[in-house]
Amino acid sequence: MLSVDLLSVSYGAIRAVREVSLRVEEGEIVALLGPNGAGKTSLISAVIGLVPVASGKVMLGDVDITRKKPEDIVRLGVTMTPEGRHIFGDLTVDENLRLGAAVRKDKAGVKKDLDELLAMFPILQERYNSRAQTLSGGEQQQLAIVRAMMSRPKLLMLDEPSLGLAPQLVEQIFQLISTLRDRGVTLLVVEQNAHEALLFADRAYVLSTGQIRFEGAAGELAGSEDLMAHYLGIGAETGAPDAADAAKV
Amino acid sequence: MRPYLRSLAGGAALAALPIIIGVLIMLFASGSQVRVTNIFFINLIVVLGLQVTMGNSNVANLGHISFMGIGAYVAGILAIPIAIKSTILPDAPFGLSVVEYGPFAATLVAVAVTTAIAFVTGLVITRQSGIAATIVTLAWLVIVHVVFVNWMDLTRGPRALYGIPLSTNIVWLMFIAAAVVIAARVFRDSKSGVQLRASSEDLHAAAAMGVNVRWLRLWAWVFSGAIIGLGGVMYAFLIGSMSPKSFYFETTFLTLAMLILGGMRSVSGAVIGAIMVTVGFEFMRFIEGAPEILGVQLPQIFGLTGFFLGGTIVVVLALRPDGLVGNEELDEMIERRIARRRMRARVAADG
Repeated sequence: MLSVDLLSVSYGAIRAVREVSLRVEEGEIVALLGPNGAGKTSLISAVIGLVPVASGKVMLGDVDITRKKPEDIVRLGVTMTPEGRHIFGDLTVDENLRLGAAVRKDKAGVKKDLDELLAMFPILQERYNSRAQTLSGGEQQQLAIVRAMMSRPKLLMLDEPSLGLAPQLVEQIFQLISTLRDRGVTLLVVEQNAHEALLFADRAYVLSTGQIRFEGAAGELAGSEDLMAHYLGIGAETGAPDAADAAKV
Repeated sequence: MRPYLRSLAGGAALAALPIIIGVLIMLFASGSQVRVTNIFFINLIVVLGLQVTMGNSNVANLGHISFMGIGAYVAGILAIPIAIKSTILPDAPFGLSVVEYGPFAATLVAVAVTTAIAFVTGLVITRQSGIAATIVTLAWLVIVHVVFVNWMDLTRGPRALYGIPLSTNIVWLMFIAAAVVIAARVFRDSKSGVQLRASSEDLHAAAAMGVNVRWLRLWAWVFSGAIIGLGGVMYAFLIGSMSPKSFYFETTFLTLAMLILGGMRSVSGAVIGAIMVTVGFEFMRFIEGAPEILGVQLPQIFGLTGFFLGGTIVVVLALRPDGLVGNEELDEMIERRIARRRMRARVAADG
């Protein structure tokens, strides 16, 4: 579905992403892991056209989206929820959700999707006319993901969905991500919380200082303490997911 | 449908305010108070126009009064009777010296011209963002002013343009103001308005949703230009004369103060701000005239009104940076209070 070929992103003299290639097949959950400053956010921002591509190629199916504008890329079925949730706090839950459908013209379909998603997330239904900033952290993250769903994406890119959430909420968010996959959405999930992400992902890429250091099945990475320690700096003693979460929080 | 109706109902409730004020003034007030109220309505229309762009996009706009001037001059020049025009504008370009439009036609043409000019300037201004955009709007105000002052054949330059038939009154003004209140509110809650507000809160996230920020800013700028142009037309038809300085810094700051004081993020804020500043201003003018209150002769203090305007802005922004009303519309605020009280009652009952 998505194939990124030798993509580079530069901010002035700084090369944030260096000739990265990756693929996301239809129906997959792919985790993009790596430490702070590895270039994960730059990479997905470049895919959706928010930051300029220095060189390389981004294909969505057979369509070259390399230098397209974000609104055109969203229209083609790619959506991203930015890091730190980025819900619009001054707007209501309702307005946030309608924003998700910014590029859609089919009013009836938008209404139908809205009703369906609200039925799945009763908390959002309950807080429908509240300002988004009054929601709790977990609710805001749900809102951000549901909002992204409103554009009816084929490919959804999530930037650090578990950031700043309590461990039990992290679990809940990843469960939600699996549900989305069951609904036919392909997901590219950027995470620092490697353990939790690998439980749900099919495949994983590890990015560090702008380059791909590892790619393979999620199970292979999660099952190997060596690999985890080597690429993600996670020691054997924090192998259990709970402990990793605790350390993170 | 539901959000649309909510917004229409909220707008209508707010629009009742200018109507109530207008009716009360017509029933009970003196001639000079009617004049103050007329000007208040015109200022309100301009402030609402300003709210459409500045409130929703959060980019400060210092050039809005240019559109008031363009609307006023176009309508005025078109409506002045040919007999008067032959004395004051004998060399008007485009054959305007032999044109005489009725108030309706003049209004339509003036608003259309203002809208067209807003579109062209908007193409330039919406390329910028933040402080750069604000400075461009200020430059635009100066450009328009210079044209008014120097295009003698068209505007009489710095001298007053007079002889415009007085074709509006408090009834027209109050209904137009009410209609503009509703229009501004519906725009705020429309798809474009919501997207624009989202982009002002977080440009990156809005763009990631596929929001075309530049196009939305342009659309808001043009809509705002049309509303403010209409305000200018009403000014021309109310006062019957004008000069370039009617549409310069003084009016710019007065209307900006009204908007910022009330809270620029909401239409309620624009309305409340316009009311508060007008009432405060008139009160200060009264004090300035050294009246005798309860047998005490107050001293004459010159410049009190200007001091009041500056002082109030400083105090309000220090205590309430979002303005008196803040980010929410009044009806939303009331609804939220009620909902919270209900929830508290429910929790208390459960406990």
